[in-house]
Order: sequence, then structure tokens, then C-alpha cells
Amino acid sequence: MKKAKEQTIPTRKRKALRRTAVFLALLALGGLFSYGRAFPARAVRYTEETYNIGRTQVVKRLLPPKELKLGTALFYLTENEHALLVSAVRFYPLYGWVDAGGGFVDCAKDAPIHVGAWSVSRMGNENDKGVQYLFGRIDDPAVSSINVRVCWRDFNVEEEVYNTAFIVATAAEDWTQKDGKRYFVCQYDGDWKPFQDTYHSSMYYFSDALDAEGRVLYTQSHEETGIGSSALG
Amino acid sequence: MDEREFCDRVLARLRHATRTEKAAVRAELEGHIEDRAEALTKAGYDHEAAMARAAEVMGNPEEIGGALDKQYPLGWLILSRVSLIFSILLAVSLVTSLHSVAELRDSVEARTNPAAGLRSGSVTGTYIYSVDLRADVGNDVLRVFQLGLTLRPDGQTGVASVALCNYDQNVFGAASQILIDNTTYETESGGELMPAGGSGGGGSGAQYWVADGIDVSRTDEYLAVCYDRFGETARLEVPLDWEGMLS
Repeated sequence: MKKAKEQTIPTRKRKALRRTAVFLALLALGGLFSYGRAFPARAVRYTEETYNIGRTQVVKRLLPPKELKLGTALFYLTENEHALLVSAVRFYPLYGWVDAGGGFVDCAKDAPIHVGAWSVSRMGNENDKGVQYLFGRIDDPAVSSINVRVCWRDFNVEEEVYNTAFIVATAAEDWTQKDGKRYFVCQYDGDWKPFQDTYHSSMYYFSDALDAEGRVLYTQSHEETGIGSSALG
Repeated sequence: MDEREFCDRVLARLRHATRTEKAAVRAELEGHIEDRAEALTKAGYDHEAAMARAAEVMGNPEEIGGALDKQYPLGWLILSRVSLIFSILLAVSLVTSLHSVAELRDSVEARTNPAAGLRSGSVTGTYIYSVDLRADVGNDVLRVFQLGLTLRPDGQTGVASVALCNYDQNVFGAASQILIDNTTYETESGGELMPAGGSGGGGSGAQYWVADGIDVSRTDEYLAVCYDRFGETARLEVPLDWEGMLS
């Protein structure tokens, strides 16, 4: 008697589950090689590691400005006791959330304010306008507002003189409260190109912390200002 | 109704079966029909009549097809194909991203043989020796692994060159890109010093740096490599082996 042809037909469910398991294993392998992450917070962790600032907590999450046309991207302001970080993450369908760098401020030094500057663009080159942010932490409750003087210096002259191109002001009513501290992140639109000459100048940031009467309590120098940039491609 | 017609009518009810699945079902049905036909042939039927009779007694092909159709739900097919497509794309992207493997290699190399990982720049000096000093700095490890000494003609002062690297404590983690940039150097006699120059490089797996032209004195017993940022501090006192140099 001829035996019936035996053919093992794997169930569709088993096949689907097996392929899904393979996909998840590849995803985990990609994550192991730091190749993209399932959640944006994991991408921020990578930025933390790149700058070695330690684990931070989210203060604020922002959507990127529409003019950058970034698709699925997020900006984060995060902090820990010693550092303030502003970072960009972007979602790619196969890779997941990928970090795109950021800017940070070392807050370990005891000071009334800690201010940083961050520029974000698509390609990161001179012709790419991008957007500019200022961010910071206010540790002194007496500070009611901050004026950030964006300055330029002409290296054609010997003296170290900084000329104010424009001022970006931010006040307490626009700040975010968290655990007894106050934070801000603001986009500004200053055109410094008239002052910028590739060979002779670049931008410098001096931040004046003001009390309720407008008196300057403290000035953070440019050297203390964290400068960062991100190119999201 | 012959064997072929029977199978065609059964398969017509399989709405979501793939070509492979339908071929497998057909093969199984044909196998059953042939088994029955074989028995009938032995009982005296000719082959064609036996096959036709065997197909008839299999049952109603539409009912059989309807019952089999439930074993091929569309949802699992979609999941299976989507997983397959994404797996292929992900595998291709992983394979083509050789930099990830290179980063892992750099991370391992910085742990096991940092001198081999130093690809740009080298320690200079008339006397070069290996050291192994490490400090945990946040998520990273700062490691000093080589020092070069040159004694000036006055016999009392010299120049040091030091090689260092940093890597993440997790071998798969990202090395800090700025840690080494923010190291400073001190000696007992000179206080905080600025190197005359330096060179280095690296990637996400590990960062390397060679600091050159650090002024030292014969009375200095060590050169300190220091880091102080984000509340993390480190100080590695690298011994200056003047005796070894002069022997």
C-alpha cells in the first residue's frame, strides 16, 4: 500500500511567531550595538554617555520648529544635579530613535544661573540656517529674568572687546519649575550674519541674571556658557 | 469528478493560503486519494476508475475546503510577512554598518591593548615606558597607559609625553567624546600645566589622546592627569621613572 505523501506543514501561527522572534532578536542586537532604540529616552541616554554627564531626568520635551522639516524628531531638556542637557533625537523606521547630539552646561560650580546655547540644523553647514536656542537653569530664587547678550568680537583689533549684536531676554513667567529649581529653553531668531566674518569673529554669550528691579546680580561669562550644536540630516 | 477536479474545488475555498501552502495541501489530498485508489485497484478497479471513486469518497470538496480555510488566518500571514521583510531590511542595515563592529573592537582594544588602539599620534621621548592607571569617571573609564620622558641638557628639567584613552564601562556603550578634551595635567613643581600639543582620535568605542611637551622637573615624582567636570573628579598620578631613564 502506497503510503500517503507525508509533508509537514508548519502552522501559519508558528511560522509568524518564529519570524517575529527573529525580528525582535535582530532589533535587540541592533540595540546592543547602539544602533537605534525603541524609545526616545534611550537615544537621550546615548547622548548622556557621549558627553559623560550621567543619567538625567526630563524637564521639558519640545517639538522641533516646522521650518526645519525634520519629520519625527523631538528635543529634550534634561537635567541632573551637575549638568543640564538639551538634546535632539530623531526617529528612523528601521533604526528606531537615534541621537543627534546636543548642548550641555556644567552646573557643578555654584552659581546663580547656568546658561547654554544650542544650534540645530539639518546639515550643519554654513548655508544651513538652522534654529538657535538658549537654555538654562536658575538656582537663585532672587533672579527674575535673564538677558543673554549675544556678542561678536573683531579679531582685527588687539583689545579683547565684545560688541553686543543683540540681546535675548527671558523672564520667570516663562520658566519651568521642577524640584525647587527653574529652567528655561527658548528659541531665538537673531540675525548675526552682519557681524559674522568667518576669519575674524564668532559669537560669544554673556548672560546677566537680573532681580525683580532689573539689577544685575551675576554675569555668566562666555567661557562658562555651554555651546552645542546638532545636525539632524 | 477526478482527482484534479476534487483538489481544485478544495483549493478554491482557501482564501488566504499562499501558493506554497496550496501546493502542500494539494500534495496531501493527492496522497490520500492515491492511497484509497491503491486499495480499490487491488480490489479489481482499473486505475482511472479507482482514482475517480477515491476522489468521490473523500467527501464534499467545498466543505473540506471551508474547514481547511480556517487553518490559514490572514492575520498570521500578514505578521509573518511583515516580520520577514523587516528582518531582512534590519539584517542588511546591521551588516552594512560595519562601524558598529569597529566600535566594539575599539572598546575591547582599549581594555586589553590600548597601545595597539592608538592609531594617530605616539608618545615621544628618549625613554618610553608602559603604565596602567585607571579611574572611573561617570560611565567611562579614564586610562593612562604610556609615558615618555626626555631630559633636557640642564639635567634638572625635562619634557613628558603621556598617552591616555577613555572607554565606556559597558563594552557595548559609547565612550565619552569630550572626557579627554577636559583633562588637565599637574606636577608637584609646576602646578597645573598646559601641554605644548597633542594628537589623538577615536570613535564611539574609545577615544585616545597623546599630550606632548609637558614640562616636568627631576624633583617631580609624578605627573597627575586630572579631570573635574559635572561633579565627577579623577586624578591619576603617573610615576615619572627618572631612575629607569638614567639606568
